[in-house]
Amino acid sequence: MGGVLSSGGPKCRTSEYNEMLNNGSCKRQKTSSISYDEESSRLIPFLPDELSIQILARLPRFCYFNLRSVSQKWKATFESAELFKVRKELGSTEEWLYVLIKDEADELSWHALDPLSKNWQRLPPMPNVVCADESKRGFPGLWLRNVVGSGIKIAEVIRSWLGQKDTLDQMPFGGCSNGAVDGCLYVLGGFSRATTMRSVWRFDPISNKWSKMTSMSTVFDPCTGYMV
Amino acid sequence: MSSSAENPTLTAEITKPSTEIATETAQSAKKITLKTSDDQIFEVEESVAMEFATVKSFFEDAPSSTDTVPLPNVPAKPFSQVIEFCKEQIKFKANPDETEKKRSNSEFVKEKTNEDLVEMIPVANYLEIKDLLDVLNQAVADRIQNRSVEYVRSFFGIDNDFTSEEEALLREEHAWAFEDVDED
Repeated sequence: MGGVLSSGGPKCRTSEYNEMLNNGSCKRQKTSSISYDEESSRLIPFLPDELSIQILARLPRFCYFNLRSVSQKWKATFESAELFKVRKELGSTEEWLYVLIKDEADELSWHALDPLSKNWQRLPPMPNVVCADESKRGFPGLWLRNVVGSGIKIAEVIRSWLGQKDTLDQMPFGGCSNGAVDGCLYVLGGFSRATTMRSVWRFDPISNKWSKMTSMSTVFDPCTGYMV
Repeated sequence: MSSSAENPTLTAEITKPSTEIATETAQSAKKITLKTSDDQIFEVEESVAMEFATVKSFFEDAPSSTDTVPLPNVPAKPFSQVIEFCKEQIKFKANPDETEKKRSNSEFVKEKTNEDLVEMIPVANYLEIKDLLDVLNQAVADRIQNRSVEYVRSFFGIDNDFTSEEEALLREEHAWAFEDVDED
């Protein structure tokens, strides 16, 4: 039902549209008498926020980082679940690929690829050192995970770009495992030097923040794969 | 028996339509009078006016009304552009051609100024013209995509409510997020 807004074809007749309005899935504001205060707290001064959010949801996601600086309200909106709900309704969600990279200096960092704009960006560092191990092998560890959707094909493409298709599966990951649940990236356990860790970290792409989850009750077997 | 008795009436009905067709054509060319918020009067063909869900439901409630329909939230300037869009749309109703429709829509937004586009959004919303609203939202998104923060602020007339420290911090984060990226 929520898809009516996005289906937008010529067959979308007004009766259907009205029905949607009545269902309340798309609240339209029809009043024009608004105070100055109300206007200044809006995303776009002369538009109700329900309409403005329809515009913002049509922007490619890589624009969001830059446009957060427009105003406090814009920043809050780009970090809100509401905007991503509208994107879902519009079918404008994007699949980004998240890659854990270990560089020559044995630093681990997460990077995200937006396949549409072909832009890479670095995620904020995880709040503590993650599981650097087997560093003596001397080549970057790579870990691929697509948070939204299946994206197997994308992973394959990246693997072939990097020319590491064959060796990828045997690479040293430092022993932590990861998975994707409900659009968030999870990193579980892993090594820190010789000790195993129970910690679980979650990265939320909407707020662009890492947060620590409740630790696991048992130590995670470092070699176990974890798929969701 | 009864059928032969009915025949005369049938022929009578067949001869009648000439006048009915005449009234029908008169109806399809019927104009609806609409008054904008700045008191401009628009005479719009009924078929075009029925594209406005708000106006359509007005006539569903009062089918025989010949009154002028007031549009209190609609100024004349964007309204005339909205009419232009709907006139085009009607052509595709009789003859649906998605490619041609897309081309026509992009032609429509291409020749509009930024101001035209944003002024039409509340009008399209008030009149509940979903197709136009989709076209406008996308067109505005396309125009601010990849633009600087300053450009977007002046596009919409948004005041910067960050302190200079806050803003510097955000930009620093942004620069960092894209440190490995070539800007195009």
